Amino acid sequence: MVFSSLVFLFLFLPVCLALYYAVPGRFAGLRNFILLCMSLAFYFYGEPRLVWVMLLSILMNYISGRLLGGDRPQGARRAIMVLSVVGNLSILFFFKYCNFVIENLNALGASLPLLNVVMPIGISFFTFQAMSYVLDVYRKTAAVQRNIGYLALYITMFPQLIAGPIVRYSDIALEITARTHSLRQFSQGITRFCHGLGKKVLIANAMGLVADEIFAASAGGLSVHLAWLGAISYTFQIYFDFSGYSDMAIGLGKMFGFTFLENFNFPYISRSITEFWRRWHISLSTWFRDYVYIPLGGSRCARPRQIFNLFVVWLLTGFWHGAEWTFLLWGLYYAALLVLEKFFLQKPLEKAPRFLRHAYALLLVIAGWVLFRCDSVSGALLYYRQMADFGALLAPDLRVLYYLREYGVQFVLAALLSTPVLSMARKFLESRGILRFPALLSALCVFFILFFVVLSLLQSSYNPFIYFRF
Amino acid sequence: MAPSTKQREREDAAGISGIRAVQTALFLLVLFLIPVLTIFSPKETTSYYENRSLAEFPALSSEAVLSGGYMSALEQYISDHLFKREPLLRLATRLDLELFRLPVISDVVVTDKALLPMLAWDEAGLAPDALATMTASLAKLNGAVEAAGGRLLYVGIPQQRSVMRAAYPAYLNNGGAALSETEAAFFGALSENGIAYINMLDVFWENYAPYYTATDHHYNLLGAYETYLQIADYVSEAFFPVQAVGPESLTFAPMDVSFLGSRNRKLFGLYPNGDILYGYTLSEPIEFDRWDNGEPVESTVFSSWGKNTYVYYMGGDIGETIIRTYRDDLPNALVIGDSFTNALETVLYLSFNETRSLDFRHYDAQTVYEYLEAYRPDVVIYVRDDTSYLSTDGNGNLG
Repeated sequence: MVFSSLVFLFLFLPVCLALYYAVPGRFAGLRNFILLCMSLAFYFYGEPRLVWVMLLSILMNYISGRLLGGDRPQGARRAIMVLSVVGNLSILFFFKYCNFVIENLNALGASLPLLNVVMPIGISFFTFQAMSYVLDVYRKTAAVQRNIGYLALYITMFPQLIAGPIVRYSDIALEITARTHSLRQFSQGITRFCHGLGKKVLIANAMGLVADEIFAASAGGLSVHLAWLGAISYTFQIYFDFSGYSDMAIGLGKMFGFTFLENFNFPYISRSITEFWRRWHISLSTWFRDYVYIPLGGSRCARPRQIFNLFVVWLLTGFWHGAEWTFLLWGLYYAALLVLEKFFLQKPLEKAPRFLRHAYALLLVIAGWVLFRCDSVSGALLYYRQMADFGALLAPDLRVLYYLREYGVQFVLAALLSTPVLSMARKFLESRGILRFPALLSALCVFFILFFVVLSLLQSSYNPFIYFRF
Repeated sequence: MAPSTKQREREDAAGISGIRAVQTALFLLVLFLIPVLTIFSPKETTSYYENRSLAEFPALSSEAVLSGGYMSALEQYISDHLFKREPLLRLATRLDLELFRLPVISDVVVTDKALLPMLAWDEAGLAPDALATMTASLAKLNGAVEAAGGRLLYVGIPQQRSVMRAAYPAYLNNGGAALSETEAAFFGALSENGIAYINMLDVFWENYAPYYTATDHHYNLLGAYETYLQIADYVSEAFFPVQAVGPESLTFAPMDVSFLGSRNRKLFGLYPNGDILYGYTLSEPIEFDRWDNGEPVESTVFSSWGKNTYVYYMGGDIGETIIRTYRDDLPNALVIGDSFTNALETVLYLSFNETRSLDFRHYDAQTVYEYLEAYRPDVVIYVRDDTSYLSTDGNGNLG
């Protein structure tokens, strides 16, 4: 089930809210139980046959946590932690990477049969969340959760279950047992949820239609104009899709009294790739920073080792996104860029004019998304060739005109909302006393968005979530 | 006296919390009221404007749940039966049409002159294999018709988008190149194989306006009548004498309801147009009896219920229709084809003793060869529109 569906909006969410708030606040345990049941139902709805994988993951990590919590020597604790990590990664490997490895071994001459496995939805997200719990308990930055229901709630909580953000156990451990609910928080949750819904349904889906058509046509040859339009559309799609989903998750979290950390911070206004990764999918990059990069030595080691660490982290980041060579190369692409920036480009970039730095970062990000979006490395190379066919710039491609006419509103909205210009304008107008009732305007916007979302959902059944495959 | 900063802040705070309360209440109202109204509102079984059946509430079974089929069906059901779905969809279309002025809405290209279908950029041109297959199929049919003592006449009708290809915006594919290439090769192949044909594009190309509407993919009754005259001329010249009912004996009359073309139907009839649906009256009526799928029906070629759409002609697509005029001195005709035959049949029967019509999308009692063997018509009129010349789907698949 996706948040941006009528069944979620008008069946699941009202039922969930009704059951949750029917229980008086003093029965927090019962509320948690309802939230857990609804989360399991949410997952079962989308993945009925493989719900046991998630239950297995919960059980395994619960036992690991309990074992780590005992009074054991450090060596034993370390062994338990390693076993737990290996167990989590084994599940992930089996469902997500096994066939990739077999395919590549077969390409090298082996003749192994492919496994008949289907990847459970959201496995990358819930595995990483579960691992963060075990690792935090091992590091003693989080207390052991003795209530398996509460741990299950942390791992399965439906707002962030299938597409993040990757919530760290230590961030919400207290809220699981004791959280407050207020009209203010609930109302903020509504606003945030509807903003995310609008980003996903009204912008990302439209950009997705453009990108899908153009990328599908790329094998047959694209003009340079169309190739760029496709790349830009996908750049918008992935941001509004993913950040929209994160907004919805954060908003839903607030409705149930949870505070999830921000996952995006206007990444496309970055002036370097380093800055981009501080603004994009923050929960994933900080996860890798804290659980891989820093344990490897981080930046507090010799330059070759730092470079090695960066490459390991980004190789894993790429691989986390999918079992394809394109994702691996995409990770390495960012590793190379980050190494270059860290050791060579930092000073020249600082001296460069601001617009040039923006253009530098944005062009590299767009180029990265092409690799990310293409189904194969050869497809990506072909696409890059089409994007670089600047000799044909003067031969206009009228199809671009069609896309701009058909999706012009969405392109303008996407460009505007990729920047903080609206919130800056709002602050400016408020400070000058021009905008008298910002809260009222904001509330009206929420219903305006909701209305158009329902219209759009009725109009179209095109509603795929990009991040489901991760 | 101006309020103090703290006082203003308190007022603001009070206002904001009030707005929050209203926002929350309204959001919850929407969230809870829509499903309740959806559950208790009467359920339609079909969507007229979408021209399809609406989803039924899915049956619960463990197999359906575990396969995910139940969930998909449930989503489709909710989407199909959401409270005020049709008015909302109509509003969305109106916004697209009048506010956003989108060039393409629901796969319909909206231009000042007409509504046209959206075509793929990479629409295939001539497919030599498909041409060879279709030519062989038609040669086989021609042989079978002649073996049964009849003559085959292939009639190609241009679709509205074909004659109005110039109305497409320059930035969209109008499909003209692919159509022309296929048309030339196809009729060339028919000639080479000695199959008689009429290409109505030759007739309609220069002056299509009277024969087509802006909003429907078919020709109108005037186009069908012009096709009838061409068929009668050809049959008389090439096969045997046939008397056409001329314009002096037939009066076209516009219907008194606005016409809803097939493409405008997808837009909830919101595209402004001056399209007219025609009927006709004869100065000397010809008595006949009619059977649809073997059952006797009212002796009319006009529908009593679909008076604002193309369904008005013959009551839409029917597997087998038989019209007997009991004039044994006239030949018998068998018409094969899609909906383009419907308007044609309303006038074609005027020149034949018996006119039978088969639509193999809805008829499977016999193959065309079995039917020919049993019926042995004098002439077989095989009608295809120009977007289907090489298609082996539906009536293009004659076995």
